[in-house]
Amino acid sequence: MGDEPSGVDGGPDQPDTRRPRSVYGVGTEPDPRFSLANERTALAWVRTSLALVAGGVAVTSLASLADLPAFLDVVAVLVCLIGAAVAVASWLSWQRTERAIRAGRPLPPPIVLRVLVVAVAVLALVMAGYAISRVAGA
Amino acid sequence: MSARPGRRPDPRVVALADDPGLQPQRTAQAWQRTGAVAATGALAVAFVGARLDLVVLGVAGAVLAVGVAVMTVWVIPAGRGDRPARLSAAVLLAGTAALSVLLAVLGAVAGVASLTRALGR
Repeated sequence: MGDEPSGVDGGPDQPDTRRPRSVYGVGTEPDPRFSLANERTALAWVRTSLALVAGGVAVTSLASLADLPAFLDVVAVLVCLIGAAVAVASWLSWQRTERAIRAGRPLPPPIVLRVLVVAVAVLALVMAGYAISRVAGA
Repeated sequence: MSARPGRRPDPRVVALADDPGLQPQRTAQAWQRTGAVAATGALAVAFVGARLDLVVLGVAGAVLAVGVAVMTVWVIPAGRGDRPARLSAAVLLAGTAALSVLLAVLGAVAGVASLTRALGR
């Protein structure tokens, strides 16, 4: 399984033509279970990104439906942009991890986890502050 | 595991045909979940486009939603054991991440349009 030759693209006898070569040209073909686990992790990050984007779009919808202040539109745009950044980071993170797996190196730490946690916490506090101000204003 | 014409077996799936951990199946499910979330996000963009009378945004969201749904059914990179030639996991991952960025841009455009209208009121 893990000792399969590098030319795995079309079978052991075929040259490996998979792209990007910056990933598949490094090291040797790893245990497929590691590669699939890395793929699932990247997909989980992409889903996080999509959830952020959907959340941003939902806030825009809510703001337009309920005639809410422009502040919420600013928050929605910010959330969408954070979602885009997470999507890019998921791709970069998959590349780094796959290269490390193929080269037999220790896995790199997640690039964006700390930033994402801080961003979500700040957004949550801002939204809580907004909700409290609305209630107090009413 | 035989591939259909124009498709090739995923070597990782072939290698793990008897895997008791069901890794290919779990990966296929992860792809299906991602496809479902992406299609839902595209529908949300279509809805907000229609709500804000942004025809281009609404049409783009609807087209993306249908496209993602079709792709999710047609291209499953693991589990079924084959996929269209040229589509490696890396290509599919890059495409999915790019789709997420595109939806984020469309969502940001909707947010800016809504913001402009709110400030004009």
